[in-house]
Amino acid sequence: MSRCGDLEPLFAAYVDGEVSAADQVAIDAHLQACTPCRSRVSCERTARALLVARRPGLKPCAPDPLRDRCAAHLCAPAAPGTAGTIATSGPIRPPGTPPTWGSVRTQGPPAIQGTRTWLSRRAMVPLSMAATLLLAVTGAFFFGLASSVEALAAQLVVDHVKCFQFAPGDVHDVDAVALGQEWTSARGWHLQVPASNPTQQLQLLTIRRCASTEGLTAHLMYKWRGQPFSVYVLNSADIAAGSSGQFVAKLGQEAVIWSSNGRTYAVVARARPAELDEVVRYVKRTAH
Amino acid sequence: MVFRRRPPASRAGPAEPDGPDDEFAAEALSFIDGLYGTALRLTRRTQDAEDLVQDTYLKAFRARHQFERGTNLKAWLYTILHNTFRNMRRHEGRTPIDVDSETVEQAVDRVAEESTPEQLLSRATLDADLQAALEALPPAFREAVWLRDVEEFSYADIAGMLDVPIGTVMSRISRGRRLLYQHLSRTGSSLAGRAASR
Repeated sequence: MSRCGDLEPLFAAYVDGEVSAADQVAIDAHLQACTPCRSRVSCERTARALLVARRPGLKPCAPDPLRDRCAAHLCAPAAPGTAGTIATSGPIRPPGTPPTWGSVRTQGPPAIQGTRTWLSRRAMVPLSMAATLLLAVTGAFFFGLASSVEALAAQLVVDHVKCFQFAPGDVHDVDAVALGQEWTSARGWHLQVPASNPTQQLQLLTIRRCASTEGLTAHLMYKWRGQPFSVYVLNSADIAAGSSGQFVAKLGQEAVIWSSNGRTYAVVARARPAELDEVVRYVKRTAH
Repeated sequence: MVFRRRPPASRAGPAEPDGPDDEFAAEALSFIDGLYGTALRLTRRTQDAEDLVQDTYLKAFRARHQFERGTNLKAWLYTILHNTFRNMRRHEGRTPIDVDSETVEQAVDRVAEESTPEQLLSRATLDADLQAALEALPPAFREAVWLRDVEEFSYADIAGMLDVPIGTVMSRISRGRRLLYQHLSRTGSSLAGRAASR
């Protein structure tokens, strides 16, 4: 039993893949033999996977007025008396005075100079915002699970199940071309939407911006043989899935993931891999 | 351009070149959403969270020359945020973090067997459920898990921010994750039916 106590402090790092090779071997062996510890690690792994997958949805956006006030603090000229000094947007405490909590409210109108300074800097921000978003996406995929493809599959399957709870029931004659154009003009990257196909028993329902990846992913929702069927298009080639397609079974769903021309594609449905062959071929033919 | 802080050559002293200040400001501001989210989780009130973030940026700006370029600005800002929060709590005469460790130990040792991890994942846990489960964690555990799994800091960075040893950080992360799991598996049963029926 003392073995459990010895190894437990390493569980967080084990789940995060940050233990030494020797510790990894020791914990692997222990988990083989110890059911309670196996269950503990499994719970920790699941909790982390959920948090990682839901990261963007958990983070609120700072309110714009706060953003402007903070920008004013950061960009205020150092020389006193110049426009936009710190004092316009918050009191300066005398040295040695402990911070008075709750009293640092903006007094008077917001600092105009600071705000304009911020606006003039907006041009610099999109880059880092884009970088942050990309990090959020790739971070979600690369952290914690055995491989990035597997992590992506887990996230997309969760998203697939969730989104179909709110899917439109029966819609007909959805215009794939128009949907694609709408997306392209709204999101700034070209999206080709596979149309409904009676031969494949594939019926296009709608397209969603996948919330868990901050709009970098298009979620095309279909009915296939009357059942939920998703096609995801990620405007990113960070997942090295190969062009032929990797099959990952998760939670009773089958995910097929492949890369092509700087994009990553995924199909998620409840089916056996062999059953999906034909419809995946159709998607590849029409989505690339 | 009127508001740029770069009057030609007149103030470009080596101690305070303006270019790096601009970069500093832009980079520091890129972390505002995360700082605000963390502040909200610490204070649980939007007003207090805004004050905390504003105070953090004010201090960061004043101390910007102490920041070593090339090191982790995000971790530096989060450390200021946590220090400010602790000072505030101390000022209010409250313990920064209340850990009723005994209760927590007992809770964690009863690992939930109500559902398997696969079942839990298949419930397609909604953000709101996850938020609620996070809220239900004791603050010390919530903070450690949040900084690790949502904000992606290293154990060492988190130890610095929370002012506790690394071993404590890792143990809080581990137990916090288990508690979170436990909470989700207990409260998520209403969703299970819907997801399973699909």
